[in-house]
Amino acid sequence: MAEGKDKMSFWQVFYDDISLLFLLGVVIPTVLYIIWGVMEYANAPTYTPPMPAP
Amino acid sequence: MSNELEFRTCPITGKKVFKATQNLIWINAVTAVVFILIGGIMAFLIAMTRWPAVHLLPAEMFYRFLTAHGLNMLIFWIVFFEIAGLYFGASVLLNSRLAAPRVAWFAYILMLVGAILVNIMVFTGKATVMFSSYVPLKADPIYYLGIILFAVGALIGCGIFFGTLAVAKAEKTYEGSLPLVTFGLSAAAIIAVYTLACGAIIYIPTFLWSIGIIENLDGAMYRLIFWGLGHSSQQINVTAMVSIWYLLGALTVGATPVNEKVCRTAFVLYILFINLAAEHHLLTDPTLSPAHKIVNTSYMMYLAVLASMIHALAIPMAAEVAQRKKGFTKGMFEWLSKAPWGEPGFPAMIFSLIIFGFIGGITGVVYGTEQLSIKSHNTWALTGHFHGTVVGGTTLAFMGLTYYVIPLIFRRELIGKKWATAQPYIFAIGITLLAIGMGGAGTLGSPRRHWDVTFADAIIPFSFDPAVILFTTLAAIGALIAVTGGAIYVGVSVLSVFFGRKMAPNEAKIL
Amino acid sequence: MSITSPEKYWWKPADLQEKVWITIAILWCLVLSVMMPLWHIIGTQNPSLEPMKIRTDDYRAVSDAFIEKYKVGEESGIPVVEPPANSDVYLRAQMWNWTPILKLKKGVNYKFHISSTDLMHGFSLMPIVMNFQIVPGHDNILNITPTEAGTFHILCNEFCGIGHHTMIGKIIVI
Repeated sequence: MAEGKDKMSFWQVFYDDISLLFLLGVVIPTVLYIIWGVMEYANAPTYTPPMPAP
Repeated sequence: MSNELEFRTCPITGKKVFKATQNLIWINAVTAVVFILIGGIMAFLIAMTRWPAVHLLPAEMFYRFLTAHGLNMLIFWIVFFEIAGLYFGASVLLNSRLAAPRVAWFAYILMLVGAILVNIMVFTGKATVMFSSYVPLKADPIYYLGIILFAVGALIGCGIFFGTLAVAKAEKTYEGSLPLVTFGLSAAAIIAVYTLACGAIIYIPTFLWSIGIIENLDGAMYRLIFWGLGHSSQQINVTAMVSIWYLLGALTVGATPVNEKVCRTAFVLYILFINLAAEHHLLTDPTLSPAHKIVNTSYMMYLAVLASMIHALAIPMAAEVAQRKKGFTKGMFEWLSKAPWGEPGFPAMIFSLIIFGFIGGITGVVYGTEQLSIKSHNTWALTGHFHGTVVGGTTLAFMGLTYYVIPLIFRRELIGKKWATAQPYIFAIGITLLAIGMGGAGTLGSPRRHWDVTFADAIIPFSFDPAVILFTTLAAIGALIAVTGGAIYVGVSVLSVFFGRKMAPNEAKIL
Repeated sequence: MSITSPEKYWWKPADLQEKVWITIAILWCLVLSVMMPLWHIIGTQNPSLEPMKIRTDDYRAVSDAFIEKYKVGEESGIPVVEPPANSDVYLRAQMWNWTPILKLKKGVNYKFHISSTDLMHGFSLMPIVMNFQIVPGHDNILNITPTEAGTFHILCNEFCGIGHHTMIGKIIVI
């Protein structure tokens, strides 16, 4: 198998590596969507409205 | 356990079918059909209520049954079927025994208990919160508990899938790379793990909030994480459906992927980027920045859309090549006109592809742009969009596959083959009309999740453009046709599974 | 076949038809990707750009004060309010009405603050069909300039309980 791997395209080895794809598939949306989004909500300012004069 | 290793060899494909796998596929698929039956009855009732000419149910029942329809269809029917599909893809296609069948049964029981708890809460009126159950709208704690149990069960099911891949690799039951269908199902399972994890992250605090341990939950934050579950679960469906298109292509015309690299690249793009699309729900939300919206709603520069475009070429292309090899070479389209339109798998695949792409996919990309979302957000057009993807696409593909699973895996001859053949046509026509009706009415502003679009009880008088009522009627007629198609599906599959003639061990006949 | 393992080395160049199709698809994806940020510069209709949270009690107080100050009448039990040009306008979503009814002037800019004091609601302006998600605790800030006169209605298009379908508001532009 070792010599077979040498001739194998890097991409074919990468696509066959389900655990690496798994890691990337979970990390990318977790960072770009969940963590980034939660940080935006957590850091948004809270508005203290100016009361219109009576 | 000795019977874990008991298997038979499929006379058609030569695959080893292990008894333990077969039983688990059977129970998950049959349970899925029970839930589509419940969801289908709800579909009929709510469609007949939404249609102003009939207006069947009172408001309270309408909202209750609408909640039940969403959960039973989008979650229970589809996920039970997907779990059956995952066990098939890992164990049968790789000739391998299933990893830990007892744990798989435990997962099934968790899912079933969860689904039953949810249904009891919804039908007794303790959880009329819609599929999305946005806080601060509160349901009974048992409802959230049911969802959590179901999600944990499904997560364990995904674990069994990955475990089986590892077993197959270690025991060398296949050589080289995974078959394309199994690779596609791996993509679906990866997406599922992220999805179900989001479900746990949001439903555990929501459960604690419902019993009073947590005081406040931010509604916008809930929406963000909930759609990591709610939308991404539909991305599991997309990926599983595309895998099933490849499978149906192989079963019906003997299609072989023209270029494995191209097809697999498309699945890898799904794994990496498709889950970002949960953002589609948040485009008109306050507080969230345009940068977050643009990066995520575009699936990172539309790379997941690119993947769908690749599958849209690769699948018909594979079918065409296979047909031309059989000698159907006259003109541009003899390969298509001489395709097996008279058996259920081929039309189910083609209609699923067309409805998913042209109705579900295009509307999805359009409504999923930051600014155009203003025109479509929460209108009935959105409902039309996902009936194109999840019903016309995923459900139709799953239905088509069922007619092959019954003889191949369950070894029963189909009862009512003519009904089975007509079924994809009827269902596809119904769903197309339904989606067009919903899309038309929604584009004119008709809201989703609404009991009375004539606004008879409204405090301030208002009425729609009459075209809205016309489109609503079209949708209702489409719903009636689709429900008929769904009823034929349930009838044929239940009768065949329980009463179909048992096939002899070496009987090499599909239909 | 897609149900059996592929040949050992399957990483092979795509053929011409596939390359043409994929190239067209990539170009189209690029066009789509550029469109959204571009619209922030050349377009005028975007969702809320100002991130802002607001406590529901604060929001109730400020919108009550707003109503009291500019109230000009009442209709169906809901106050009618005529705010001055270029002012902050508070439109409150609650079970099951949109308070107040607004009287606005054509061609004048208003800064809308739309929020909810109970559940989520869906702002849907008819008949032009513009929709925004209204979330309690968050201020959906929109700069709106009416461009035509007439009566507009606001539907609720997010499920908010049993009276959801009766929840209608009104904006009159003169």
